[in-house]
Amino acid sequence: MDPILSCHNITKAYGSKVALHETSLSIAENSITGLLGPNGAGKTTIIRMLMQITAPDSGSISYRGRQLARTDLQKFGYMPEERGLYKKMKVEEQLLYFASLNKIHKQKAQQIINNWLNLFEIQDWRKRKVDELSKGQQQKIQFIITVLHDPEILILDEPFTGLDPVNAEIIKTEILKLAKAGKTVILSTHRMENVEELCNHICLVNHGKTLLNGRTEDIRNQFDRQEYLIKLDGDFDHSTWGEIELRVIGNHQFIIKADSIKVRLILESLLTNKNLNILKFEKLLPTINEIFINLVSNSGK
Amino acid sequence: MNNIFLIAEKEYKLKIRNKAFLIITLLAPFIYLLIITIPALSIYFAGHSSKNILVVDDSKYFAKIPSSNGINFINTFKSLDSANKDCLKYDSINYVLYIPASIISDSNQQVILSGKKIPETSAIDVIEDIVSTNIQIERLKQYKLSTSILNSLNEKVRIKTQKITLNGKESSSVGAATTAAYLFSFLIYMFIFLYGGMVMKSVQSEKQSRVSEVILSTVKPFDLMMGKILGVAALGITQIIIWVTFSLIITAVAGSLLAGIGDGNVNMMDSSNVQQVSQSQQIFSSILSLPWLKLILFFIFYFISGYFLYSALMSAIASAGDVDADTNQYTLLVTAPIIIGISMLPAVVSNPDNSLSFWLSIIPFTSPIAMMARIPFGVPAWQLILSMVLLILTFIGSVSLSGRIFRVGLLMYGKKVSLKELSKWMFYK
Repeated sequence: MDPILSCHNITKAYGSKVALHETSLSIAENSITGLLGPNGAGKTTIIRMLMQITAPDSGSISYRGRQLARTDLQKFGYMPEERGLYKKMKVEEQLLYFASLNKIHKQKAQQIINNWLNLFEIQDWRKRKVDELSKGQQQKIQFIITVLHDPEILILDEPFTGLDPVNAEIIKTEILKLAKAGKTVILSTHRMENVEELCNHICLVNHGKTLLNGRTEDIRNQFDRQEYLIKLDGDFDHSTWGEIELRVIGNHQFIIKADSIKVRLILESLLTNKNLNILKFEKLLPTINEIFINLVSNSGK
Repeated sequence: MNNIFLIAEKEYKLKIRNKAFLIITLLAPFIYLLIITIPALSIYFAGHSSKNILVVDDSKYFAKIPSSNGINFINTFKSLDSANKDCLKYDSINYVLYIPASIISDSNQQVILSGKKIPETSAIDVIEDIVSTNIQIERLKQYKLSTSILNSLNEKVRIKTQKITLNGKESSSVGAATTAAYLFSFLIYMFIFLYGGMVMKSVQSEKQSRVSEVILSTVKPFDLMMGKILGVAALGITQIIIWVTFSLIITAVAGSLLAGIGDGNVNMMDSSNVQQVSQSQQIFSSILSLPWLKLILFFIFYFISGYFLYSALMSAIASAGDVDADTNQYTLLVTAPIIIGISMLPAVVSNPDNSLSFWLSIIPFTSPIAMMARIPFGVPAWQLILSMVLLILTFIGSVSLSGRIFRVGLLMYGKKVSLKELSKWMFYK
């Protein structure tokens, strides 16, 4: 499938500091893509370019195969890392203001806002000023602003920071619901557990370059070290397995490194040994966190 | 375009509901009331706080000096010493005026005013005026001049000013023109600072609350800046309309009240007060004779253009400023020309046609103030057109330039920006 968004060789420099250098990446439609990278890697610059807040010095950005245009902004919902609301404005008034900037008719906007406020259980706060709200509540308002014009693409920069586990879960559920409804979500975050949980695509950037870009499963397979975790109950002799890389990591627990043919043989030999109980036999795919740390620390050298 | 109006509307609504704004808007006319009534009231009260002066006249020329401005002169035949003792003894005697014997013939002689307190300047002025006029008359008398000649010598000349136009002569008054020049220039200065500052604060708070990036993902930076500028302009116009309406009502009410006070006491005032009243009436009528419509139209033009020019620059400066720092080093850079304009105002008013006034009223950064100071005195059409065209071009330039700085500055945090960097931002894509 053609990507919904793609960047082709984009370069951006702020004075002498190069933020992005000939970076290319693509975002698959209807994916939840994790945009990953250490601080200062260029994530925010990429997002701001997608949102057309800044323009690249060279290179281009396309939307559904054509040049991204100002009018496409309507299809985007953006939640910046630096959250911001008008503190002196009332909740409902603020939401209506953002709806009007997104050209939503007032009546329709009112209806959408009611639905969201109900969903997040903050309907009683609609007439309150924003600075009377808790941080979690403000975060919810910020999320509503991002989605109230029913955007096709959601760009969420660190959407879970400052949220307690309960509220983080509520937002997570909504993100999954939106993806299920056909939206494309771009999630920029440092929290790898969120990435593992939510993202089916990944884009890893560092030093203004794309290191990885693709489906999460494919990437994990790409970094497959052919390792298996085995946990046994009982005595056994692994010398029968022949030449093999084996690391004992605990009581009757070890990791082996072997190709698929050898693994099959080992498994068969374990199954035929009646003195043994196999507690665990698991293929160890690298976590996104491991891949991230590995690549980032190597690319820095 | 639509977004500009939405932003302007939000800006307007949010500010107009602000309590501090409401208080200032409603309070200002009463401050104005105080300002206009205090001088009038002080004249009124000054008439009542009369001073008694004991005159020890060794020259025997000043038989009776007429009372003036609430100062009564009482001649005494006592010596200076005993008059001074009387002054200390009686509360009703404020000062002792000593006129030496040879005052008419010898100009080295000095008139002495002594009292329990150091006499106030206003009293000294009146006494000096009266005594010197009398001495002058007495000295002239020694040349054996007739009374009619003396009277004719004493006559004061008042210059009537006229402006020659193609339609013939127009009567005009320098006093009225000066008043109008100061009034309009000050208003422009005040409004640019007041409303420019408001735009600046709005940008600062937007940057501080970090809402700018959310907004900028929906609207263009230029729309955001223009929306703010227009919103505050609308607010300013509302405020000015409220002020003008209130001020007119207050002036009318206070005027009739003061006139009532004056009527009741006019017989208690002496002739010089009556003269003052008639003088102020003259000034008033000559103020009315100014070409008000023309002045107001030019005022609106220079106010709006000047406001756009400066508020755009101020919003750029505010966007570039560091949120955590209270003061912004570049504010002075932007406001310096207005301050120069206002500090040169007396020079422009007293000499509206010299080259300094000309250049100040042509250069767009000072022209809103300087030109408004010149217009009441009459300015050649080509100069007006040149000044207006330059101002329009500069404000368009300043708005687009500021828009470029604004775009970058609003998203820049925790960094002190150098002037070099500011100029670089203008060329970022």
